[in-house]
Amino acid sequence: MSTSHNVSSFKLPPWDEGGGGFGLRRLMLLSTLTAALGALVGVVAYFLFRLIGLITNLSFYGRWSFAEVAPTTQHLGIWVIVIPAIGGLVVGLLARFGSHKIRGHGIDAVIEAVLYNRSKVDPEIAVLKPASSAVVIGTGGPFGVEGPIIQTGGAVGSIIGQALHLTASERKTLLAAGAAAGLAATFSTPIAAVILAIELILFEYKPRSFIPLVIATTLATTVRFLLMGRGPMVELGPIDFGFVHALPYYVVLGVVAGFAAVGFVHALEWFEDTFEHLSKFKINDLLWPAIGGLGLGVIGYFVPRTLGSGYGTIADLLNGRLAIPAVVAILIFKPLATLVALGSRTSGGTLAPMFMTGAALGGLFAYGVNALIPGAALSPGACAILAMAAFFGTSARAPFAFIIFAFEMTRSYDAILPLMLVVVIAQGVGLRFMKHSVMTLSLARKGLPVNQEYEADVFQRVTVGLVMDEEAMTIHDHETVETLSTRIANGEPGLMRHPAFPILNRQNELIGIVTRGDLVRAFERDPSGRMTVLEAGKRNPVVAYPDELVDEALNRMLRQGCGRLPVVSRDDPKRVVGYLGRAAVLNARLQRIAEEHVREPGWLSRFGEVRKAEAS
Amino acid sequence: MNNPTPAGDLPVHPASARVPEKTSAAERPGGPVTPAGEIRDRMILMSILGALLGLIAAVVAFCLYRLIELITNLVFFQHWAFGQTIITTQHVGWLIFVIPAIGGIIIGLMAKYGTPKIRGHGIPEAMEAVLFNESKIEPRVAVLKPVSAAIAIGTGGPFGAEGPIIQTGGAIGSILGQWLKLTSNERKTLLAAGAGAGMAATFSTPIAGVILAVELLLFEYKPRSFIPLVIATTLATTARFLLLGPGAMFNVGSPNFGVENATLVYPWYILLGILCGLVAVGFSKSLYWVEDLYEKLPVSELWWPAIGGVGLGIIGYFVPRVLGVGYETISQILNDRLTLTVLILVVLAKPLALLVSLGSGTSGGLLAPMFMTGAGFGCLFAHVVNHFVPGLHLSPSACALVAMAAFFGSAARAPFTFIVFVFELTRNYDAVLPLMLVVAVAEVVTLIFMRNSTIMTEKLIRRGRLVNQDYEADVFRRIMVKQVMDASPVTLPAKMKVAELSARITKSDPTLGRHPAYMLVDDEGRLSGIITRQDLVRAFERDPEGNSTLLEAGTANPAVTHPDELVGDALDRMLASGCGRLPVVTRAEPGRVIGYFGRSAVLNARMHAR
Repeated sequence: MSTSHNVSSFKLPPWDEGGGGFGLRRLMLLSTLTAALGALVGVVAYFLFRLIGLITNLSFYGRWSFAEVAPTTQHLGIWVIVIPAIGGLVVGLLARFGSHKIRGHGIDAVIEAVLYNRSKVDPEIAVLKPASSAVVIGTGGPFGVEGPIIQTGGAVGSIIGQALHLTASERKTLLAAGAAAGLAATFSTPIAAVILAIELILFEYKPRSFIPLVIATTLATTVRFLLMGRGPMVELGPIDFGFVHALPYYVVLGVVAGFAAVGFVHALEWFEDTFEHLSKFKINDLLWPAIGGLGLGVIGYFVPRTLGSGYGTIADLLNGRLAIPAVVAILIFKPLATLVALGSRTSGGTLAPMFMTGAALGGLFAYGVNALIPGAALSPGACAILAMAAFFGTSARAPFAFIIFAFEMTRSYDAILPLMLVVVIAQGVGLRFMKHSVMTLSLARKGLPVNQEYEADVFQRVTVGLVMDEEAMTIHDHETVETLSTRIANGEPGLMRHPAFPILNRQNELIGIVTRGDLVRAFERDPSGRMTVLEAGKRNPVVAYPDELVDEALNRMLRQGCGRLPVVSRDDPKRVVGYLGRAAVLNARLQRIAEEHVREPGWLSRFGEVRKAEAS
Repeated sequence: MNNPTPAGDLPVHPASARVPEKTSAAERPGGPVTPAGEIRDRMILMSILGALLGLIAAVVAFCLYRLIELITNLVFFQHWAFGQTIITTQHVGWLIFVIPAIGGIIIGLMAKYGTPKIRGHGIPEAMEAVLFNESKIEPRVAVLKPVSAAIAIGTGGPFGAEGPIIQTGGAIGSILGQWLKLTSNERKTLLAAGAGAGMAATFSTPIAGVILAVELLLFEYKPRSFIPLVIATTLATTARFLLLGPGAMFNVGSPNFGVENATLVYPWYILLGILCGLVAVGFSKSLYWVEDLYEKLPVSELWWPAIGGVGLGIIGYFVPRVLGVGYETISQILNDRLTLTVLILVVLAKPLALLVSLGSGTSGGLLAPMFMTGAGFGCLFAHVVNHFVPGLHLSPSACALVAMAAFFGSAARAPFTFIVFVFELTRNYDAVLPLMLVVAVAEVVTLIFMRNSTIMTEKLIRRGRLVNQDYEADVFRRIMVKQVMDASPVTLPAKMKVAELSARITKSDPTLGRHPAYMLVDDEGRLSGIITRQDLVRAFERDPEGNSTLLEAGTANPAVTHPDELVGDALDRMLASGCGRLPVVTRAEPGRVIGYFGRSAVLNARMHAR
């Protein structure tokens, strides 16, 4: 992995004149591939679930069974402290002798592969990541499978992409489709999976990647329906969201959840730092997960509910079925267990534990408000759902994905409006007080910037005609290198504008271009300077048209390795109408700066200024 | 030679750069770039405005629907009443030929003497304002558009009110934005929030309202616009719930989507998707063909809507069901309650009526009529397939539902919006998977046949106004200066004479490197200035001997960048201060030059990092 590679050192292969993006035949190929990928990942997700069931049964109950169980009812007594440590040791070994990329919750690794490794994931990840997280979760790790299955699905997609002759961007589409399919297959949440892939993995929103993505998640969810039934992840009883009367409380809940997320992310940073310090005591990072596991075991001994993924506990919280002391215990110890385990660089997804924490927070909020303000009558279940989505959506900086996720997980449409409101308010708090999200924290540590804001590329919005210099300084083909150089040396104003000059014939038709560099080289070959400019320069230059996008012209410019293009009229491709240099190209971005930063006085503020003037 | 002209002289077309007037580097030291923190703080203001806008848009949507009902009742039944009526039961006889034409004349007059922006189905006009008019919409649009749409629909126009509502909501957002001191992007956020809120309030579809605004109007996906947008649609939907009740727009019962028989049913869904895509392409092309036909008419534009009205009246006389919004008919199709004959009539007559009237440049939304057509088509598809493949039992309701999303979603190139929209209209979660599949397939088909334009953008593209609906993370904000800079910069002593440098350049001294500017350092090797070749020429003009020092001829204390800065931030500072390159210095020692950050490096980086 190249963390500080020099971007311009990449060699560009030649590509077909079809232009940016991949063509439609490729789109159909990718859509077909992702259909197969979606189905495949659906099956992989199923096996991962079963594997976790098996390991949990083996390690806590000593029986060979694939059934889904929680380690909350085991009777191991004090020995429960050791089991997570053993799991941690196994993961440490897997990380040491397998691949370091299995550490962490998985999504950051996917982002890193997409942004900094041209969407290439090592094949062993597709086996080691699910295996390691199954070991961790099966031995009591407080994690969910979502991060690992996202990474695994992404790895499967990337491996298929590497087997074929594809561009990095096509491989990215496969990777994202695999990742989304994994999430959709795990939770039956196809729409949220699509949005999550867009918000966190794709770094673009375009039909060419959207279509394969949708097809993959559709098929993955279909497979899940066939293998594990069509019901929602969490069945909800009737919940009264009381949206209108509870609105003010929901605003407060959004702020609370936002600050909780900020606190969590900062705490995670602190725990990761603390484990970093271990290396000073010569403790090998092989052992870190085991140490984390030991801490986890101690917590689990006192609060068994913190062990394992705990989807059952989440369901209890969302239905308001837990008593206040249990909710308080979860709210304190689940995040603690998660932080200890995650800080120790073990393998496991953060979604489930953070959902549980958020849900506990919401439930407690409802109990608290109801106790303080008798008329509030907030539903603990409703607040749990809202806080869960807000807490995680903010920490992960994927608000839209988790608005939809919380809805799809419960399939309660009544939840939608309060969800939207609470999640975006929390998100606002998160944006203000938090620099990195749970997903990008580890990348920020490595000095890798991640930009999650998407926009229509300004170079693809502006046409050449808008930015070109309309006064191209042209010269005639009979001119010699000598005369032109003299004119330049005399500082003739027009000739100073640009470093290259389009050459015209007697009919004023474009026939070539000559740069200052060409002139210097011509003098080296023939010091007399009697060569014509046409001989010194280049015939039939590449051109741009005023009605094409700056992006198209720029691509041509860079592919040909030249720094400027004469702009010619579309109707009469020999007539020069302008000059497009690098400076002009970059000026397209001025439009973006203007839209972004120039604050224009409005009618009201003009009114205010008049009053101010009158006052003074 | 790259010349460091002051920002005011940059060779930029006036339409594309409003920067120079107000923000020359001299007026605003350090350039006009607003710090990120301030943009974040503005979020609270934007969110409050968004909330306000959501409520207003909901009330406007409510009033518009009441107005349409009132006009329909007045015109066709001659009584003053609100409440939905179905024009099929009208008692106006031969007057049916005249009524739509009278409506058309009124629209023609409003377009001529009010504003021509009321013509069309609304969304393209909103897109145009965002892309090419700094998100400014004239206040009169906010009044004339809904009124004109109400007249067109109330006199029998086969339209929905959603396009007009979206444009009206957008206009209100834009007007609010023009009252306050905002940037163009902030105004855009308000415009999109108003539009999304209008849609959400009309149909109780908050999520689809958000996605619609993102897919068609915002041209970005960023938290700073997403948050106000979500708040606006949430409150608009809440207001609608209070005014009209929280139920779903269409009740479809629970049709069998056949997901558990995926292998059997999915191939038919894929076929349906392909057919919907083809129909969408055909419909979009015919709409613009009909518009061209009107262009060729030898009469003034004023009369076109009236001519369209006459055509509509004739169709309406034979198939009265096509007149008006027709939500009732859509609901009947979705529940498979129409006879086959009626279904075929609707599928043929509704698009025809739509083409004749919308092509004439009247005012009205595309969505409801296209939903009716798409749903009818899907229903018909299921009946035909069931007839030929006996054991299959495709549900006509299910096919109608997915076909309407696929037909409109692919024609408008807003697939995600309409996947979610149709789900929210019916609130039937079983529909989601088939919807996703069919809409995606239809989208592939329209991408093949209409690569660069959609029913929303065709009109703009014909006028040379290109629309880019692909969003991506700004590549310049993904890479850092150290990755693209030239790490072996040429530095020259600040005290060197202009004549000496000039002589070296003339001899094409290879140690000078290939950049058109040189960084100047003082005796301790600290950065003190920068000089371009253009500066050299100017220095010679003032003093032909070339006796001034490089520092005197160049710029002292130039703007700089740091290796760990994002290329996007450095580039914006460079452009805003009107120079073509920045020296790269370390943060620890702000005098130590470690690189040269120039235009060609920036452009190459863009190419390679994409």
